[in-house]
Amino acid sequence: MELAIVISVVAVALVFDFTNGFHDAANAIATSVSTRALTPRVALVLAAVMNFVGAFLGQEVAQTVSEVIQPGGSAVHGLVVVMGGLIGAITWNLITWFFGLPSSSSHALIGGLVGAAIASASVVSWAVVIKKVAIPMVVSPLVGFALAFLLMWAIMWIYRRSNPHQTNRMFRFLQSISAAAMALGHGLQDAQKTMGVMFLALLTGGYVNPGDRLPIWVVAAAAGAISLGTYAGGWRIIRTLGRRIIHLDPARGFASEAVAASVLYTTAFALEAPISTTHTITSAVMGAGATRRLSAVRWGVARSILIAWLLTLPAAATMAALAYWLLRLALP
Amino acid sequence: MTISPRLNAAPHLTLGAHLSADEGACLMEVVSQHAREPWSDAPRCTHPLLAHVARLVNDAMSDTGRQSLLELAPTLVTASPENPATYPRIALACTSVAMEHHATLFLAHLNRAAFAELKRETIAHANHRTGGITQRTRRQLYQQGPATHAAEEAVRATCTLPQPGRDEVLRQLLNAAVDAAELSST
Repeated sequence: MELAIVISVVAVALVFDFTNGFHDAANAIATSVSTRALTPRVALVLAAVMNFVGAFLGQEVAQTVSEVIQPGGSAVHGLVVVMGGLIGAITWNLITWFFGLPSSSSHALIGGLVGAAIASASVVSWAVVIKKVAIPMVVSPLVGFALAFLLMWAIMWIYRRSNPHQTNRMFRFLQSISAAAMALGHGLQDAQKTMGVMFLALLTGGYVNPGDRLPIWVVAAAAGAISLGTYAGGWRIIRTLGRRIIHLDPARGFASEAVAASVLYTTAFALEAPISTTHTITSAVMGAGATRRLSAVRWGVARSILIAWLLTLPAAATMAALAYWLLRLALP
Repeated sequence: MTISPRLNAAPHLTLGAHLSADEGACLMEVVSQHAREPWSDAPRCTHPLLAHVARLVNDAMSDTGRQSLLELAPTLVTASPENPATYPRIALACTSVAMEHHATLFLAHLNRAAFAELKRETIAHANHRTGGITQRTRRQLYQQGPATHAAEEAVRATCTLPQPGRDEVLRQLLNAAVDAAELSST
């Protein structure tokens, strides 16, 4: 019974990971494609490969995610709590997609785990939730915006007397590096959230011990799922529906990607914090664009990010609590 | 100081959003210029859902076909009816056009949902009922959710058609959305 639930949790977590890559594919490729630094096909393959590689680079974020809750009771009960958390997160993601509500799938996952834990009277590590989730969630887009603005300002000042065509050519080349760096950062952050849930399931089931490194199959499975999702999502977007990308010149494209990548790495390695990659990349693009005109700051997008901050954690927690109670009825 | 190369003054419609006119323009950005509003791909002069359809069609069309959309710009400037029935009317129009060429289950569901919502709004309007908080919340969720999905799915389904017919159908889709908005303002 335990093994069956562990396998179910792992499978659902991998589906969550795939949909994460699918949904976020545009973030990974849009800026480079819009400046024509990369062709759509190259950008997509690069994003998929770098997402895969990025997933192998660290385990700190996964560790944080696995420490958010300590499911109580028996192993089976603990696994039901984790499953409830996952189902709550997925349900909230579906609701926000259907009704066009702002959300963050990363924080839906954390909210889901917390909600299921509260419903089951399990322990929630509130210090981890506040210091490593809530605060970085708010700070990372603000830092992304400010740094991208400042970097772009510096670039504009340094190259103020340069030939624009040569400068654009140079930054188009540099964008192939910054785009790869951003996709790497995306894989580093987002795959680890799923790995954290999978590790929590294995820990709860007694298949690993606290402090163990993530099993290689967990890392490879999460890396593969997010990479496949990115590839599948990217083609859908390129072929059938252009995501509303903002045309940036190559210098702004480079500035936004470089800053976004830096924030993703810093939060992953130094702060060990799971953050929203979408919010970070979006705010960096707005920051770089704001040096051209202030209306590049799409206040509607900024408002959506604010609503996501306020709504996601409690709403996903509520969904997870409901999911946990329903699962308890069905399972021992 | 700008690093971008300057483009010529005649509007050549391109894909996506642009920071300023000299970097290119999409259909809705041209509309914002016509309306003398601040440069934006979501000007206030155009109904939000109609603007969304226009942006989707702009991005989905081929470069050549996209230029034919310019003649719709003056119509889009004045297409902002306040009638709540506008959302389901536009959603119904888009899904109906798309289903004539490439019907999918999701499109059919969104088409039915639009019809049901339009019926609800028409009855409420006939009874002079604006609705309480539940009604208003439901309406808002419909507008943000299924209505928007209807526009996106209609364009997505149309994009599976081969060229050269695809541009023509996309154009029909936008025309149908414009007609639906005009019907709402009468």
